Amino acid sequence: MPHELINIQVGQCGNQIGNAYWRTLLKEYSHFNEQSGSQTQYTDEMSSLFYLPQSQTRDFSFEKMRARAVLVDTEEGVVNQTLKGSLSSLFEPAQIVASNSGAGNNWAEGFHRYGPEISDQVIEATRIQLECCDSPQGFFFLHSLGGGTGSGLGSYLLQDIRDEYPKITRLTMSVFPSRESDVVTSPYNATFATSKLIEHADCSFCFDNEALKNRVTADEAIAKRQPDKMISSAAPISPLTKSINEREKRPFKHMNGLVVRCLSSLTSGMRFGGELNVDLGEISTNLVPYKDLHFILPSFQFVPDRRLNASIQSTFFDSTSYLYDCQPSRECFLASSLFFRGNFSIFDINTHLSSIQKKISIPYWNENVFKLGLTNFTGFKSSDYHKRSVLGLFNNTAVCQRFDQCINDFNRLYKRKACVYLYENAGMDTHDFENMRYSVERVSETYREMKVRAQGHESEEIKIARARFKPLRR
Amino acid sequence: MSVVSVQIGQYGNQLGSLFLQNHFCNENTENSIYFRKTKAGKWVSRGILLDTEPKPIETAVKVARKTGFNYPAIVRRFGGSSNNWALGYNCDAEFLHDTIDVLRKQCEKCNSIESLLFFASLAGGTGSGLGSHLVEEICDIWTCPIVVQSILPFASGEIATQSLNTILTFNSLFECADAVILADNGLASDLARRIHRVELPTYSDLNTVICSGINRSLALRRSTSSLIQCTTHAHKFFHEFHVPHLAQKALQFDSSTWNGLSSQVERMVVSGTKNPFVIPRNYDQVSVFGNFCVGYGQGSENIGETLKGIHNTRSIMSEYSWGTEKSISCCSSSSSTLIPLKRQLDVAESMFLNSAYLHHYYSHGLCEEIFNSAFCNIEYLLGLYDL
Repeated sequence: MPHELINIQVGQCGNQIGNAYWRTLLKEYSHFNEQSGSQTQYTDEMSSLFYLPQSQTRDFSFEKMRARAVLVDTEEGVVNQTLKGSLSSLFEPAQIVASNSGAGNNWAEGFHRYGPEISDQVIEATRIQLECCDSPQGFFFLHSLGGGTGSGLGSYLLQDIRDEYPKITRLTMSVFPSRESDVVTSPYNATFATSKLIEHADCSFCFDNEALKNRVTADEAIAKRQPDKMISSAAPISPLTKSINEREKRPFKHMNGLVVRCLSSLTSGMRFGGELNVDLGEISTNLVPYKDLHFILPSFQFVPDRRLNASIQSTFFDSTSYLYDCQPSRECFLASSLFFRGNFSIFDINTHLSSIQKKISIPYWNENVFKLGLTNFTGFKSSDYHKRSVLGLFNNTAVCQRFDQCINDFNRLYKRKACVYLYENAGMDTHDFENMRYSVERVSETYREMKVRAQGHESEEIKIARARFKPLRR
Repeated sequence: MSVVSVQIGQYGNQLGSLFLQNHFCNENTENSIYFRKTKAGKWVSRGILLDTEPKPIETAVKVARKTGFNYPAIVRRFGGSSNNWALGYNCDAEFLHDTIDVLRKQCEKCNSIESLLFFASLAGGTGSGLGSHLVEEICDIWTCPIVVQSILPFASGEIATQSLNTILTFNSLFECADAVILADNGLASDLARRIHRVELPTYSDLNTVICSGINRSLALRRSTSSLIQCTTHAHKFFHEFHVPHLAQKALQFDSSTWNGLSSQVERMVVSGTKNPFVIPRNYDQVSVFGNFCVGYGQGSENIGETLKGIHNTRSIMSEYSWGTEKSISCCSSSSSTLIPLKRQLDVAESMFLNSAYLHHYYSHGLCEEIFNSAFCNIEYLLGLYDL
């Protein structure tokens, strides 16, 4: 299947999420191959994310496949772990670009120092990947916004790849830092990285460490109360018997599992068959009404039998289903899309959605508001509870709530010029600080304006403008 | 007299292949309209398949092979159209030239071509964008009549850009197509639930419902040319229905008479409803611009007489009985045909005036002028249909 996706994992968070993603994909595909009874391990379905290197065209086993990915980091820790672990056969040395000194949680180090140094190698690695593709659909950037490498180097690479390959869609899965993050400079890093995302990304899926942590805790609490339901919000195959202490000590593993689940549901429409297939281009066309407002909030729920209505409602309105820290219910949904995995009927879904349409606030000009995707294959061996799931992707004005918080934290630090010398040493000056803050403020302001405008009705000027289309009556 | 079918995009390939499948099972003569025999003695379709994604074509070919025929002419590119009319329209020129070459070869293998039959959707990217460009090119270079079968999306919305895509496609079809048969997803799902008693209809159920009508209208030798004779310069948009519309199990128990059927048809045409089970409250006189009926069954000569009362009717009779003992299938162009379009136009105008989603179109070569002229043309068209 020729829609190929190239993953670019930048920084510690990006690489960890990426590794969890590849593991999950391998399990999914092996389960799928079992079900569909295919003889070989590398099947056509996998060609959008894996490929066989030239010399190995006869051998269709998992060991000979390579992932379509480029791994970038400024420290060797995570990348070395990957190379030693079970995924080592998926990556060739040309796909890995690593340096050794780290970026010190400093956006400017990542952007101004490592950017120019490493970017040639990364562009070379992506070029090799693109040569193995028939028709590339897009680039997926996995990174966090609070650190140094993921945010700084990630932004530089985004810019570079846009210059090099302007026609290929760039999608990012960006993880915002939580407010109680132990990294002092995270508001600076997040603001600078967001301003670059506004400029260079086609579509950004926003996650938030705070919301992910809350979701893991909430799911655990439900699991304690109802252990028979096998609810594990974490990495899909982790058994419930792991102790609670371990989850508290290493929550990132389970948080990454949530992000991976979203990523897998998003791409499942392209990878597996179903009634309504949705590819990346369609996602970005339907969810992005205005060029700057391309920040999408993911929300995920499992759908037990006969609970379709409740699940859809909670996907839209419950702030606990969202993997981004916000209060969506009183905000305006500029565009929404739902991706269903499992056995659903289009008619059922349409009925529930028409009742939701009356409750949510949508702009009057976007009545055709829901984009749907249906895939049959769920993804992993699991209990009845996990058989069906829905992923909601919403372009909701609530995204600006977090941006505003970020700007407030930024201002609090910047007023005292705290830590500014670190950025100035790496090559930035106060103009950069202020320009980038301004661009984030501007987008936040535009979202708020959209909310207000959308709640109103068609204005007089628009009514008059409509009349000029009418033919002159004789 | 043969008809070359062109199936474009996901909807086009799904519906087109179902159409040809039904046709193949019901009619198998040497001089078939939609099929021909190769030198090796195998049946192949006279038409072509066209898409920018691999899956719909693969499914169509698989299904056709099971039924017993094959598709010799397939043109495909990869990349998809992302529900973007501009992307479908401005595909590379080489793709279009390849398609026209392949189409020309298929046409040369026919003795005499009655018309070209396109299957394409209105709201997607490939069917609408690529479909409109192809129709425009062919209209310029050949004099062959073009009949297009399209589908209007659900009113509650399947795709965000569906209204803009629909308006732009209608603009092209208005200028270049000779006749357009419209189907409606919302209506088909209504029929599927009420008559076929499918609680939760899937897309393949909807396709079956739509196909059952279109198969009957276009099965006979002179169907498309008679259809085109019913059109005038602007009144070329038809919606189709057939009576009696029954569930599979009830077919053998049907006992309608010609009088009953033709009065049902008359009622539906004159009142403008498409659902045979809805009794219209007020008989608002809709203006009927053209009407084409096909009667199947013994003694079908009479319906020509009864329906002459409706303006501009052509009818063909056939002794063959399709499913039930007697049935009538009708394509009618009246002022109620374009009511769904009016709604799409309203939504599209709101979107355009609020500049929503336009950057997707502008980045692939469209400009404001094209939208403006499309809106003006469609308003003019709706005026001609008394809306």
